[in-house]
Amino acid sequence: MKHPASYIIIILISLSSCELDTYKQGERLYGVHCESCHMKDGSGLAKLIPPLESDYYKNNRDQLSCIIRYGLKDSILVNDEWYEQEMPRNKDLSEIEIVNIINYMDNVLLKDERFTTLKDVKAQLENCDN
Amino acid sequence: MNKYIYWIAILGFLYSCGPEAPTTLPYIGKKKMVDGVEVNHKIPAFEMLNQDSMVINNESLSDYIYVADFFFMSCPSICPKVKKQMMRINEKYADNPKIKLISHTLDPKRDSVDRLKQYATNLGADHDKWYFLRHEDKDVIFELANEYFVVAYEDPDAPGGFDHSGKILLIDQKGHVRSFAEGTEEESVTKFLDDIDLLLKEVSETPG
Ligand code: HEC
Repeated sequence: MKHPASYIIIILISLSSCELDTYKQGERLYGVHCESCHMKDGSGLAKLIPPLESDYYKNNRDQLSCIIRYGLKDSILVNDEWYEQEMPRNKDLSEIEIVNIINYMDNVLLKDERFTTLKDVKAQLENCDN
Repeated sequence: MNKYIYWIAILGFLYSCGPEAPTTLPYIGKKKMVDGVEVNHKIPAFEMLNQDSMVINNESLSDYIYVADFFFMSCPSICPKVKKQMMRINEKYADNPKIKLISHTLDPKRDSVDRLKQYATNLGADHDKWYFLRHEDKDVIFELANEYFVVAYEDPDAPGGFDHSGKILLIDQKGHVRSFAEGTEEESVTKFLDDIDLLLKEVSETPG
């Protein structure tokens, strides 16, 4: 390859394909572990299962890994509604898998561009109340 | 003469193969011979309590068509999706007095009448239209599920302890199963809504 532009093009192509793959695992894992309750679009179910687009989600961002790994038992207030059903734990999800689920929820479902790293998740998991 | 036969054949062909949608729903299930007469599959008599501790049986439903599903409250797998679709059906026919919805719990041990009432309220169900039915004996429920072609059984390995299919069924005022949908699939339920309309039309046109 003679022209430097061809390198740039190749790099761009590989980056963009990376981009497409970024949320693949997250999407699959969400489909397996979360979708049955929170629904494909994250909207939840009436006053039984809360929507992901919520004040609770935003205010407890640093707890997301703990919620995913340990589930939720106590009643919580989400968008001015009390939710009482338990959310089951997901003890088999690895830290990387949790990272991918969170990034999928933020960037794809909630269209809120932000990136959670493995370091963030490790730090969260060290400080869970459970 | 020959020409006419061709025309008749073509017209007949057009008529039978036209794009017209079917105007009546089939009867689902195996026909049985009773006293030498062929009869359609029918939901057998049942009697259960709803979320308001009211007795609901075949007779209380004989003036209505109804939509049925099977679930349990702590079900982590398919139930919430099916319930979302039941809510859709509930909303579409909220003002239609001819139709009821019935959700049978498969887990009478954990799903008490009181808890079912709370659940129904949280779903936004109209308690006079959408019944959450419970029977003490879960074998009775499993057998009934069978009559609705819903496979249900206790399975310690299944999420939540029960395995069952997420079918939603349409039952006419005589207790015959007339249509069903996969309650986990939105598109399947969209078609099902058309079937409900067809059955409502059929019922309104049937005298008596
Ligand atoms: C069996 C159903 C079920 C499954 C599966 C489930 N959740 Fe939940 N989730 C709930 C319920 C119920 C609550 C409310 C818990 C409470 O009231 O204590 C909840 C709460 C939440 C909340 C906080 C409230 C909100 O909506 O902002 C988040 C975030 C969340 N879940 C994410 C997830 C993720 C991610 C997964 C998959 C790894 C998942 N859930 C799987 C039922 C479920």
